[in-house]
Amino acid sequence: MNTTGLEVRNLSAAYGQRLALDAVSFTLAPGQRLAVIGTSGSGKSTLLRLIAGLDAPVQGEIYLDGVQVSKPGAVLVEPHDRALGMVFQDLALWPALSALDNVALGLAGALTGRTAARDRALEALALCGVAELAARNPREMSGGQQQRVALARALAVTPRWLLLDEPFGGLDIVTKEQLTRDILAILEHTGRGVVLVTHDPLEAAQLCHQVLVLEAGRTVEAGELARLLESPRSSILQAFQRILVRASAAGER
Amino acid sequence: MGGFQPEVTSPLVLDRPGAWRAAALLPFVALAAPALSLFVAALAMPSATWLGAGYGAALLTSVQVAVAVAAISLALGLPAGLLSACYRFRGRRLLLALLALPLLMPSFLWAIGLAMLRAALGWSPGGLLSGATAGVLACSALGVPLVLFATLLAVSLVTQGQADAARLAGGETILLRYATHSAAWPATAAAVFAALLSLADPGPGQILGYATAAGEVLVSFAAFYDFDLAARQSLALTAIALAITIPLFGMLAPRVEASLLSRDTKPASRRSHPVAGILIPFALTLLVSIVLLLPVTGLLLPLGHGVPVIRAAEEVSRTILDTIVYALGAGLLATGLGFAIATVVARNRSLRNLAIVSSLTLLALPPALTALGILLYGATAPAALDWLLRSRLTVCVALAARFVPIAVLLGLVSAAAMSHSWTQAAAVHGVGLRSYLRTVSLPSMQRGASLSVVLVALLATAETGTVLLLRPPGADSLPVAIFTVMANAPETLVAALCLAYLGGAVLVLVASRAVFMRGRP
Repeated sequence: MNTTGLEVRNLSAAYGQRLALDAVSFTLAPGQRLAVIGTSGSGKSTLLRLIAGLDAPVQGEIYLDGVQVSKPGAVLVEPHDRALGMVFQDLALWPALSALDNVALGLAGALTGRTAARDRALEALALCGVAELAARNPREMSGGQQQRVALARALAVTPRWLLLDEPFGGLDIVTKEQLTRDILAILEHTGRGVVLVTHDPLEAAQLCHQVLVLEAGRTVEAGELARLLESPRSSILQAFQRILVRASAAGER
Repeated sequence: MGGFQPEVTSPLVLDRPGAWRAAALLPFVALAAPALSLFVAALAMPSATWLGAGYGAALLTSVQVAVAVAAISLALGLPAGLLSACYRFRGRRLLLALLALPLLMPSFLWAIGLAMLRAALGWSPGGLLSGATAGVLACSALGVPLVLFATLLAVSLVTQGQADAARLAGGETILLRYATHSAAWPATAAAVFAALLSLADPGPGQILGYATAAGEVLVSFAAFYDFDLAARQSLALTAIALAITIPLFGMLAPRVEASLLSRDTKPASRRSHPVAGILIPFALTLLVSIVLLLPVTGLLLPLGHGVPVIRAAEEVSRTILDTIVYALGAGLLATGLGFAIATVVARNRSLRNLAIVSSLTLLALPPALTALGILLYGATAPAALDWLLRSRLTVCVALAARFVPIAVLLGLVSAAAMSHSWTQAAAVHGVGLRSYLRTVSLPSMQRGASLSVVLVALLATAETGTVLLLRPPGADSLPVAIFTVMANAPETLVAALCLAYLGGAVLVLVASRAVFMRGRP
C-alpha cells in the first residue's frame, strides 16, 4: 500500500441487485491524473462517488494518503474530511447564491472569518478566470462560465485530489477547447491529482497521464492512452482508434 | 485527512435513506385524529334514527348534484384546458386569471349571486336559477376551473419534442389526441375532486333552497343542537368520500408524483392557429360569463337600489382583523408543517407517494368532520385548554389542518426543483447542514412557501364551515358574517359585502402576482 496517494482496491458497488462496479483497482501517486473512460452505464460516475465518500462500496477499500476512508458497507471518513474537490456532472451550483458565495460557502467553516473565506473564494475565481463574475448568479452565466465557477469551488478548498465528473458535457467545441487548455494550465500550476470521468478519449488524452477503461463495471484496460491505442481491447478505444484513422485520412485528403 | 475543518453534520443526511423519515407521516395521523375520535364517539352514540329523517333524500340530492358537477366540469374544463395549453390566443392571461378566481372563493358567494339574479329577473323558484340546478351551476363555478387548470398542468409536461413528433405524425389532431391522453387522468381526478367538494359544501343548498347532506349536518348541529346526529351524518358523508378517494387517489399518486418531479421539463411552446385564435377566446369568454359574470351580475343588480356604504364598512371593519388572523394563521401553520413534511419525504419514493395519497384524501374529507372532532375535544377538555380548543388559535389550527395537503404538495414541488447533487456538492466541499439549510435550501423554497401561504390564506378565508363551527363568540370572519346575516339583512348589504370580499381577494391576488413575478422575465 502507498503511504501517499490514492489507492482503490478491489472496489465493487451495486444498485439494488445490479452490480454497477466490479472489483476495480488502481493506485495513483500524488499529482497524477487519471481519466476513467467508458460508455454510458459503465460505472464511471459510481467510481467517482465512492472515492468522494458519497456512497459506500459493497466490497473493497479506498485509501487516501495511507488512511482507509471506505470499507465494505461503510464510509469511514466523511466526504468533507477527504480533502477533495469535485465538479459534478450537472455542476451543482446553488442557484440562490452568487458565484462568490457558491465558492465561499464551504470555506466558512474552514477559515476563520468571512473575509478570509471571501478572499480565498475570490482567489479561486481569479485562478479560473471568472473573478469579474463574482457577484453574478449562476443563472446569469453561460455554460462555460458556470463550469469555471464549479471548478473554482472545487479548487478553493485546496484539495489534494480533484474529482471531475464529465465537466465539459454540453459545451460547444470552442468553449470546450479553451476550457480544457485553461484547466490543464491550472492543474499544472497547482499540482493537484485528478480523477476525470469522461466518455471522450480525446478529453482524457489532453488532461491525463493515465487511463482506466471501464465496461459494464469492470476494468478492461488501464495504462497510458497512446500505448493502449496501439492494440485497443475495449469497444470505446476501438471506436476512438477508428475515428482517429478516419480523421487522419480526411486530413491527408 | 486534510486540514480542512467544516461544520460537523453533513447535508447528506437530507438524502440518505432512513426509517426515521416515516415519522414525517405522523402529522397526517394527527390531522385525522379529530375525525377518528368523532368516529369512535359516534359508534357509542345511542339513537333511534341513526342519521335522522330526511337525511337519505338530502344525501341522494347531494350525490346527484355531485355527479352533475363532475360531468359538467369534465365536459367544459377538459377541452378548454387542452386548447388553452396548446394554442396561443389574445387575452389568454386575463381569461385564465378570471377563471382562477372561483377557485379561491366560497361557493356560497356564487349561490348568493345566482339567487339575486333570479330575483332581479323575476323568475319563479323552481326555474333554471333555483334549487339543485342552480346548485350545480354554483358548484361548477369551482369544478370547471379546477379541471381546466389540472389539464393545463398535465399538458405543460408535454415537451417540445413530443409535441413536434405528434404534429409530424398527424398534425393538430394527433397533437390534441396525445394531449388528451396526457390530461385525461388528472382532469378526471380534478372532476371527481370537484364533485367531492360539492358533496361536502353546505352553502349552495342553504342559499338556493334544496336539502343537502352537508347542509343537514350544519342544521343538526347549529339549529337542533344535536351534536351526535351531526357527527353521524358527517361520518356517513365521509364514508362516501373515502370510498371514492382512496382507490382513485391510490391509483393517481404515481402519476401526480411523476408530474411533481418532472424537474427542468421545458413545456412545448404554444402555437398560433387561425381557427383556435378565434374559437378559444370566444369559448373561454363564454365560460367566464357562466361561472363568473352571471353570479357577479346578480350581486351587482341589487346595488342599483343604493349602496349601504356605512353598514357594509362597519361589518367589514368588525370582521377584517379576525379574517386576516384566521387566513394568515392558517397559511403560516399549514406551510410550516407542509414544507417540513415535504422536505423529509422528498427523497423517498414510497413516502412521497404515501404523502400524496394522504394529502389528497385529507383534502377530500368534509371540512366539518375535523371541526366537529375538535368540538368533541373542546366539550370534554378542561378550561385550561381553552386557548387551544376554544379560541382563534383553534380556528387557525383547524383551517391549517384542512389545507396542509396543499402546502405538502407545493412543498414537494419546491423540493423536487432541488437537485440531489446540491447536497452532495455541499457535503464534499465542507458546507454543514445548518449553513446548507439556511443558505441554499430555504432560499430555494422561499417562492414556493410564499405561494403556499397566500394560497392557503385565500382558501382558508373561503372555508366558512370550519369558522362557523369553531369561532369564539364575536370573532366572525367576513365570509361567515355574510353567511350569517344573509337571511335577515337587506339584499343590498349582502351584495355589498359579497363584492367587498370579492374585491379584497382580487386585490390580494394581484398584489401577490406582482410580488411573485418581480425579477422574472
